[in-house]
Amino acid sequence: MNTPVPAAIRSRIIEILSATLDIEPDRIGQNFSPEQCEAWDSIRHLTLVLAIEDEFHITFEESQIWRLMNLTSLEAAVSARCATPSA
Amino acid sequence: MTASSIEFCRSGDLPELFERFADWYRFNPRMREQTYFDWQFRDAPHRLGKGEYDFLILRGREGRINGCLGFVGMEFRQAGATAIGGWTHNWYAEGSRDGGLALLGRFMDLVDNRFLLRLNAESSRITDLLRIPRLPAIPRWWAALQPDRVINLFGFDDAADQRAIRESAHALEGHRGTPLGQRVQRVDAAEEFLPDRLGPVLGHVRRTGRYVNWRYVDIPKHEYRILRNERAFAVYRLETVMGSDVGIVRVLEWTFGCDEAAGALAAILADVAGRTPVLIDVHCTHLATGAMFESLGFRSQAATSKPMPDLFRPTHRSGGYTVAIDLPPHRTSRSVHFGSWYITIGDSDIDRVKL
Repeated sequence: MNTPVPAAIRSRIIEILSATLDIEPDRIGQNFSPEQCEAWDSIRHLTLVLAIEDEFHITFEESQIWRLMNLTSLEAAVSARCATPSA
Repeated sequence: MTASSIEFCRSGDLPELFERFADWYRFNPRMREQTYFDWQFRDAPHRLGKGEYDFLILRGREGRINGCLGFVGMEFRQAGATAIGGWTHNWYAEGSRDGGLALLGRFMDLVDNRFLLRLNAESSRITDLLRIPRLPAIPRWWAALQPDRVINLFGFDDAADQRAIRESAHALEGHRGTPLGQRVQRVDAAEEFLPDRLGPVLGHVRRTGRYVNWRYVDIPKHEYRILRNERAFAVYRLETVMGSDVGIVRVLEWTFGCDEAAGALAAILADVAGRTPVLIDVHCTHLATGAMFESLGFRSQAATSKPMPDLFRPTHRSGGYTVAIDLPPHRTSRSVHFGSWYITIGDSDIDRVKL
């Protein structure tokens, strides 16, 4: 069962997505992914991941980075890391 | 993600893959030859993946191949320890946005010790974001054998450049030794050549006989020559400058010590004398190796204001070959003293002869 994502986390991730990909926040829906955004290329993706890590003071596992390719997975990964005391 | 799948390449994929190569690597038709592909990605001494080939293909949702990443496993030594690592090759993603990163991610899932060569601007940026230590260009040293031909052929108009070219030829002539060593067709698979006779080496891909035979003897349609004595070896080849009757001697490996260097170089030059060589060069990260070549008359790539061409089919100034080394702990600030590593453009197959 999916754990609900705190609104503050969702809101902040959307802000970072918006700033990194230069896209209006209201265009970012739950299934937002590179398919909906031409600007979401490899470099922007890494920039996005690094910005999220910086914002939430977390570090993703290297193997996670390539799999965080939509809003849902980003939210889930951030929530999980934030819930881990050592994250 | 945009890419619908990443999978290991199978022989049944090759016709379509080679069609893509015709666009992606149109100046390198050899990439489309299966014997070459088999040699590099199927028959290498240290396979890393469980697929038919150590080669990943990226298919878009429509099923078309629109990206790839090949890799070649090897054994390397670092600070006395031996480990398995892998070089990336042919990392390419065609308009697939996140596809390049997804391919790299799959490679990184497979191997912890990663070596990347010949990165373009985008892939260099990716390595920087991942904090992977990177050397923008493998150092190169060259010496003119026929300075006037070099000056005319490659358009060196500047007087200082012309002087540097002539001085290299003069200095090289002054250090000509008595030829030593012998040419061999293969080496014993159990042998190993260590590159530390010119100075301490922190890390290097092991030059075992098995590796040397695969890399330089069994490679299809390339003619490398091996010179050796009981302790050391060199590998070189002669490449004809497109549109001319002259050649370039390219040294790919060098483990001879200072006391043997002039003699080994003399043996190489004597061997290729009949093919009208005008220039000899070597690319190597190991600065002590470069210093030895300088002592024999070679000049660094920075010696002329107009760079000495480094590609000759056709003649081109590439700007050099980027190399990056990504060893654990990943994603942390690390430094690599590239000048203490022995990496040449013979490592894996970056020295690939074009038609």
